[in-house]
Amino acid sequence: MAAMNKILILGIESSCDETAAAVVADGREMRSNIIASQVEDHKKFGGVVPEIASRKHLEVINDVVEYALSEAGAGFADISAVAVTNGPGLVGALLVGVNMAKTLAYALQKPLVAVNHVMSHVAANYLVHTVQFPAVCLVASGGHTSLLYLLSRSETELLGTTRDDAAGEAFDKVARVLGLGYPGGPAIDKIAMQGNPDAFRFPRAFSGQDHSYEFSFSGLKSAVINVLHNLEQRGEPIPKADIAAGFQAAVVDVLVEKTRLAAKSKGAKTVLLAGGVAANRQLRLQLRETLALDGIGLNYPPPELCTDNAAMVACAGYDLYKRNEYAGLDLNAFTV
Amino acid sequence: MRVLGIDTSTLVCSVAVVTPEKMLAEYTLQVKKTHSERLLPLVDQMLSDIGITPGQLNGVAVAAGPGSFTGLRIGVVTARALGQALNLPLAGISTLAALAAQFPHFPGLISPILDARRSQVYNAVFHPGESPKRLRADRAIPLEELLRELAVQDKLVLFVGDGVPVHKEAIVNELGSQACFLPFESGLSRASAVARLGLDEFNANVGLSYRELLPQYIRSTEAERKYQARCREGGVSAEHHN
Ligand SMILES: [Zn+2]
Repeated sequence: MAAMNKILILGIESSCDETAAAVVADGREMRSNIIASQVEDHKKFGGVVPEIASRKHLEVINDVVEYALSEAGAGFADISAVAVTNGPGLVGALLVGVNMAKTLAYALQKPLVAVNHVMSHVAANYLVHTVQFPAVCLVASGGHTSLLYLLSRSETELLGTTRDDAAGEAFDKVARVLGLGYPGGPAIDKIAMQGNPDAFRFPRAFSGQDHSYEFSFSGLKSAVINVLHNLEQRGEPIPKADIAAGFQAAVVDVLVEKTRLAAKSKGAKTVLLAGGVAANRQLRLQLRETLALDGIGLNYPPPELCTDNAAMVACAGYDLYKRNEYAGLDLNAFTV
Repeated sequence: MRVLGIDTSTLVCSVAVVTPEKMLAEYTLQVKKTHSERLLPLVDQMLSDIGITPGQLNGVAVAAGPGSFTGLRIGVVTARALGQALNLPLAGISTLAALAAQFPHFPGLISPILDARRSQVYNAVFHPGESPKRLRADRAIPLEELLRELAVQDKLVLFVGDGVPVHKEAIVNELGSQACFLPFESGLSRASAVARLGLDEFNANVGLSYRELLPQYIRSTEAERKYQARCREGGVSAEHHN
């Protein structure tokens, strides 16, 4: 079999509301990528309920692993190492994947590698692109908003992160107050297409001109809620599409401007997008146009690799495996 | 036949290996460190001390509940992964039955209690024996209700479990000399009892596959309880029952 001399990594991911397992060969060839989504289980609560997420992960995780192996045409014996997300994320949820991975590695006598969730989102790009380094990556999702400088796949530097809400969290909260349901990202992306982004001008938190790469979205969220309150008090109809478009424009402006600044000052050849918010169409469009002016390329993964998955975990885990950076059987999970 | 027992249902982290004839090892810790950090290193240490590899086990039994939700999941997912990777039969043992099984010769009833918060205890009541005879299903119950139930029985009652130190005074007030207690080292959840009850199930050919083994939480999640309550108040019918 051709797979004989390839390094196969089994990746496991359970940091939020997707239970996922995947097999990746040599750190870039995706052999399988199985995701069991719990979105429907959390919908009626308007957001992810940690205890329910943990329970659901446990119910399906073994089958998800089994399926990932069989779709890859591999057995446990063919695996070189087990890679698992151990944070940041929901601790109870992470612990299911972490203990699953640890025990598999122990029982099979294979190395275990612990993958940082943010770094795994970055790695999703390596599954589909030959990235030109140095690069700058914007990771934006419901759990994080971070700008990273990448000299290579394994040499990375965190430039800045959010001081309060994550970008995706702001999407979820605004979608909730607008009654657009959960998850908020796709709902706002969709309705904003029919709205006028200039009808409401919301604040952009650029932190002055200090070239800081930190983000803040809680002020923006409050501004949206204020506008809604005022309209309600005056008994006026709520122009949902316009508000959504105005909100999205404010988020995208900030993300694009900070990413452009980072890319220019770091001399990046490429900008990478990662995380669930990378699927936002306005963000992709605006970022591509802005970067093109400076001759900087833009890469982002397909939608199924933007949201949480285990192929990206196996991909990032490959780099750790190559450097012999193994985790011990006492591996724990962490929140932030 | 070597059965690995695991109990991570409370603060106690206990692992053991038993055969039909004897207990080969039992390691028990009661420290404030997470089970995720302790469980597998403890299993690894124990198996290497008795000179066997995980592949030489013949089954895994785990305390499946009631208990701490996170603790139960760590024990159960560990058992499930062993079952899947090594093709082993599994057994989910009631945490309360395993506690009761440690005192087969007590002349009365055994009433394990685990701290369940929200002014309740996890409890079941047993006739002692090597396989204790169950008189009540595993449940979450207010302590006062349990004590009223036991007071009318004309029998000594042995209280074991991590709920004892919390509720001892209330128990003595209500039951007086009818209530019996143990020194602190004797009333702990022990993986050897879990493993022995698991062995009985494997001998009776009722082992589970890794797919079938799940925690017995007894309680639904707080979010679900609140959601059901909202539905009742609002007159909206709850579509999801758990
Ligand atoms: Zn994520």
